[in-house]
Amino acid sequence: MITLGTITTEKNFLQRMEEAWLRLNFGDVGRSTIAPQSDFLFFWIFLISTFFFVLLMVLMVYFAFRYRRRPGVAPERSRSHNTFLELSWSVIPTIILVWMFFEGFWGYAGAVIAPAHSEEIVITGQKWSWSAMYSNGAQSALTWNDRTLLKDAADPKDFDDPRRRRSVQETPVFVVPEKYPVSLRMSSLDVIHAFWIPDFRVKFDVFPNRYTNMWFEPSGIDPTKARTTTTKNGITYTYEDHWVYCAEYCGASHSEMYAIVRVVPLAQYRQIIKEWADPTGTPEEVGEKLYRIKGCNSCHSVDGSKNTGPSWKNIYGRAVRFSDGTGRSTEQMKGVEFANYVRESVYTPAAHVVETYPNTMTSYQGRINPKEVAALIAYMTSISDNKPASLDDVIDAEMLRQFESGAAPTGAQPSPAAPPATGAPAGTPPQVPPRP
Amino acid sequence: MTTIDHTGLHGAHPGHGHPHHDESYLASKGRGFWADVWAWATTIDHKRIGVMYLIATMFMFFLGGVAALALRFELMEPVRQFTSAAGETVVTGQTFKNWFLPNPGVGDNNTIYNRIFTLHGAIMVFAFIIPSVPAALGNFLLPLMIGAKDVAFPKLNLASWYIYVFGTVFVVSAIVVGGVDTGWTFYTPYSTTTDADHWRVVAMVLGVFIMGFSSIFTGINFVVTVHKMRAPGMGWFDMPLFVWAIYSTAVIQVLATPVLGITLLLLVFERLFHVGIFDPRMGGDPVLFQHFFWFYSHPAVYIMILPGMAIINETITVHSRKKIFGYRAIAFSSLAIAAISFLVWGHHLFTSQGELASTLFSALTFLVAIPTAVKVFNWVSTLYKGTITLNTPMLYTLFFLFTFTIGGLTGLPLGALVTDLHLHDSYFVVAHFHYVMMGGTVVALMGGLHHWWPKMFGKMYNERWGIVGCILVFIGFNLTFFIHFIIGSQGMPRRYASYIDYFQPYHIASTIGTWFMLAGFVIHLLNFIHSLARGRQAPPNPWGGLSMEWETSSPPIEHNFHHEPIVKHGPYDFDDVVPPHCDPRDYPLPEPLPEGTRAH
Amino acid sequence: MTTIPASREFPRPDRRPYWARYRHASHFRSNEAEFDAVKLGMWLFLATEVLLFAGMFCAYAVFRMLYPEAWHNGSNYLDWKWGCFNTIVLLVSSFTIAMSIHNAQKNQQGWLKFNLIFTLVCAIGFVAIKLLFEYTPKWSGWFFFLDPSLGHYEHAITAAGGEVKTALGGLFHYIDGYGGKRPGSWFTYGYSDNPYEPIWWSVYYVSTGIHATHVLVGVGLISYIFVRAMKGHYGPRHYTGVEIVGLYWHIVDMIWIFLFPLLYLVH
Repeated sequence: MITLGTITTEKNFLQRMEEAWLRLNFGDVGRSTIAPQSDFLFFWIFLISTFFFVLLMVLMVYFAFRYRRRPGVAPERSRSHNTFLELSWSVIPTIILVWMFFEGFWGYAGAVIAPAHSEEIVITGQKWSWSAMYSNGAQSALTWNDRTLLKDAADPKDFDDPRRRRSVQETPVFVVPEKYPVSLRMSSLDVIHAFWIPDFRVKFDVFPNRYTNMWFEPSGIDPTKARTTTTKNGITYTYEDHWVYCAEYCGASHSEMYAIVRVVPLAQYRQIIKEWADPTGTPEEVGEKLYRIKGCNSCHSVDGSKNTGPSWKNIYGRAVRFSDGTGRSTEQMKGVEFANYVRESVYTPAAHVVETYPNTMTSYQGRINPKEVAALIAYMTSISDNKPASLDDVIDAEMLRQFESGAAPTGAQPSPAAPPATGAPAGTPPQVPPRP
Repeated sequence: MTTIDHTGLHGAHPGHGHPHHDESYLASKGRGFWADVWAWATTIDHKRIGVMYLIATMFMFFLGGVAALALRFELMEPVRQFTSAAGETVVTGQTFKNWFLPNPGVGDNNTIYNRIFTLHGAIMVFAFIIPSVPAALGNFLLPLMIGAKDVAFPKLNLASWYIYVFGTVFVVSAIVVGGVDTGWTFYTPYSTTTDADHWRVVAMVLGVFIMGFSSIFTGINFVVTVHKMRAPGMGWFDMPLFVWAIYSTAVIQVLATPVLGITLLLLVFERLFHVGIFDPRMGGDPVLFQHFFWFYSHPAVYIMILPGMAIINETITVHSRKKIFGYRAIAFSSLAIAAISFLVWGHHLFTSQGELASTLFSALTFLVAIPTAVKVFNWVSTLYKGTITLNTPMLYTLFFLFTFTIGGLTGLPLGALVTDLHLHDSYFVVAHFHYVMMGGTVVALMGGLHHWWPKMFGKMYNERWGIVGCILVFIGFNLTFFIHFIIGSQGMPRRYASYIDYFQPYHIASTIGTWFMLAGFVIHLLNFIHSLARGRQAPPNPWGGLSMEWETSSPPIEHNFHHEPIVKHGPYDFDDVVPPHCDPRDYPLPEPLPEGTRAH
Repeated sequence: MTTIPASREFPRPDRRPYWARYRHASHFRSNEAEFDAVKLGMWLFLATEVLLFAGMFCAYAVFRMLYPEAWHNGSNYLDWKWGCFNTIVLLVSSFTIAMSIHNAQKNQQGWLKFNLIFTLVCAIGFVAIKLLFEYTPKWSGWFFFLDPSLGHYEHAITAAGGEVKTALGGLFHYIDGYGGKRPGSWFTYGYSDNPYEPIWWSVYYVSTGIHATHVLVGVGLISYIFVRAMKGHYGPRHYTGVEIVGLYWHIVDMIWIFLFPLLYLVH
């Protein structure tokens, strides 16, 4: 008689086997609350498949050897039809397949319907970057790359994860609360992208003409992988990072379209997004930040190197020629005329396309507000070798005063249901607007 | 000069009929080189058209294969860009770009990579796998197997070949002028906006559209041929299973391809006139494109694999000299696959469509696994108590069973909803469909090509080198693609030109696998060329097959059979019939059944 | 030395009509087998035609569901009278081509030619009506011969300020602002009040355009069998060509039977 203890041991053994197999195959066990169902089903499909595969291959190799053609050995008669066998290998797989379907369905049902109290984050994909807006209207202000390391962090340490990636382009870092459901409302500005967090076993496509939803609940910070850092304002937090990939082919830099999802404790999560909601600083500093978080950096360099778009280095005071034959002289690229040019390029990029560059930029109308444009202009001006003595020559003084007073450039589409200051998750999920 | 073996079931009747009717279909008319070229270019003989298709599709396989090698070569390095200590941007991993396009400014590494994977996918799918087995081997064998003189509409058959070549001209010209970076799936709105000022995407899409007509005409031809041209006495269940599977393929070709036609036409209109049906900026719907596209392209997956299964039905029986196990089950499973294939397209959209649709399509997807599993079980059972010869076609058959089983089983986590959320668009998918498309269809095609090579060209190939090639392809294939399962489930997305450092060792191993495959295919090619030049004359029935193509000479005469063929035995009655043109001492029959018992 | 039969050397001229002496292609076993095969092939081809248009009907259904107002408004601009007239034209032509098959079977050579030429006139008439009275006014605001003020275009004339101009020596009348109802990005009609009307016009032009292309192909096919009928190729024992072109023409007709209510009668 099998005792309860035996069964428990057996289950433990299987669980250990599953975990070992997952570590081998996935590199790790799933790190979200819905991942165990996915991993469980994958593991069992793997076991069942292995059973059938080994069965078939052993029979095949055995038959091929046992019944090989040998001179002098007469063939045997055998059946070419056996109703019992044929029925059993139709019915038994069918039963197993029905089980697989239902397991997949239950897991899927749990993976697509977010709990009502989820923290909602708006994800926007564009060629070739991700941006996130939190429930208090804050945008992620943290980026990471191999060399510049953790900007905004007081103690930038080398990131010696073996799963590193080296790139000039800075990868946006999004924070999500630990052990708390997070619902992503996603849309795209241009073509189809897909938001995939392999460690969480979730993925969904991001479309230009509709919102799609995806949710997950990070199952916690693995103490062996946890790191600690401190923000400028002195918020110290432990975190664990997970890669985000774009999984739907979207063009030249599809394979550069990364992001990092950083799991942090819930209390620190609220502090961090509150800090991000009011970025303070000079116009140049805000502009530099916007350059990174609005995705400008995916096409425009600031060191003079050629990318998809013209470099911002020395763009102030640099004569340009456009693809329609017109152009701007050095003088026309200075002062208020320069500011107007930048404004036009942000809102109607197709109006004047710089020669030799493709017309791929989308309009940022509704995504970058006029004050943010002013900050970007200030930043562009500041990195030019022939910058003016005073920013007043470029941007009007009224706008500059707003920066000095510390008023925050707000997110382009503040979520209506978001509580303004606390950054606490919204009580009810915001209404998804109808399709455009 | 005729090469007929007169020792078979049907004796020769010299002096009867017109003398040139007994000539090999390959034979020159003896009126000079250009007269021969003209005769081939205007031929309506299904065998010559089959050979012309074989040459054309193999050329496309070569092009797509070169692209595949280039892709794997690029992926050996993760393409790192970083800022050096001095502050300048350093880009490594540019060997690939420098090798292919040393001219800077033509496009960066990623763009070149994207164009090459599009080239690889579009050529392999539309110009190679879809026409290869049905149009090349199918054209050659279908009328022979059912005892017909030709397909029902020989002129339409020739027209299909010209339409196919015309389509490939469009595709190749799109590549020559710079290539297309849409991916073979042409997903909108990317495909409608990329390279907006250039005609090459339109050329590529039109090329595929034109090849669709070729596919439809071949399909119509085959369906009518099977219905109306069977030899007297050949009922539906007396046909070789090759014919059943090709028939199922033809039904899918006829019913699915028009939907691709309208989809691609709308895509062309979208690019040329901006009609807006797939353009989200004008209110169009990109997901509608995906539904349209996969309504064709999922059945197209079965257009690709059913002919592979068709070949295996023949090679496994002939080379194990054994009646196929469960004839009707296999025949009906072909039809079932064809029918269900129209109901499962939505499993390509698990991460883009609504929950209800996904659930429904997941359930239907599991349905298609059942007839597929039935076939594999039947094939393995066929080996039981056979008389198995391990030559190249049989090794390829066992190779097919190995890889196709893996390919089929790894479809299960992709069909299950929750696991697909993770695995969708990852290298796991890449591995899965290469195990089915290449490990299934291409492997079966190689086996079939060796199996019917003596029949097609009247020359034997070198068995030893055939086996060496097969083993190299086996090693290379599994090395290349098994790794993709692992990195896919670990989080390597497909269509990535660069990747995180972690995956580099896996990618290097995978690339080395492609070189093994290359070596194997080169050996096969040389073996075939050697066979044509110096090969031993092939007897009419080198393997002891029982289907009708083995009753005629090798290569067959222009009108296929010396006499109106009459069905006297089933295609798999190895227990009761000595194969035609074969020595009974080489093919002994098993003990006769005791009185009163009945063969199964 | 072989002796060749005299009948081979000097065949007696066969003076029977082509349809009576017609012999099937060598790979078929009989004329009937050939006829059956060709007919089955044609039916399969018709199945592909149905699936081709099924794609357009699907697009129609999806966008009608998404943008019902655009469909209502757009359909309003279509003239159901022309649509209805064209439907009758096609139905009559379907009848006459069916009759021509009957005529071939009964060896009524005169009626065969008459019915074929009548079908041909109907087919050309269909395309001409479509082009001159439907596409042209909507696309450019030009009306072939018709004075728009005579029809039900008063609202358009009022909208344009009551002015009707003539062009090309009175061949066309035109109203400013009536045209511009074009597909997709070509859409310039100024009075549209739904942003998704261009999608409606895309579906309208693409589906009727592909249908009109099929009608034109039909014109070619009917002309071809008409020429052969003039030579007396069709008769009771051989009428394959008439039969399959008839089948093709019926499917073209059938598709229009669906397009007409879906496009013209939904407002």
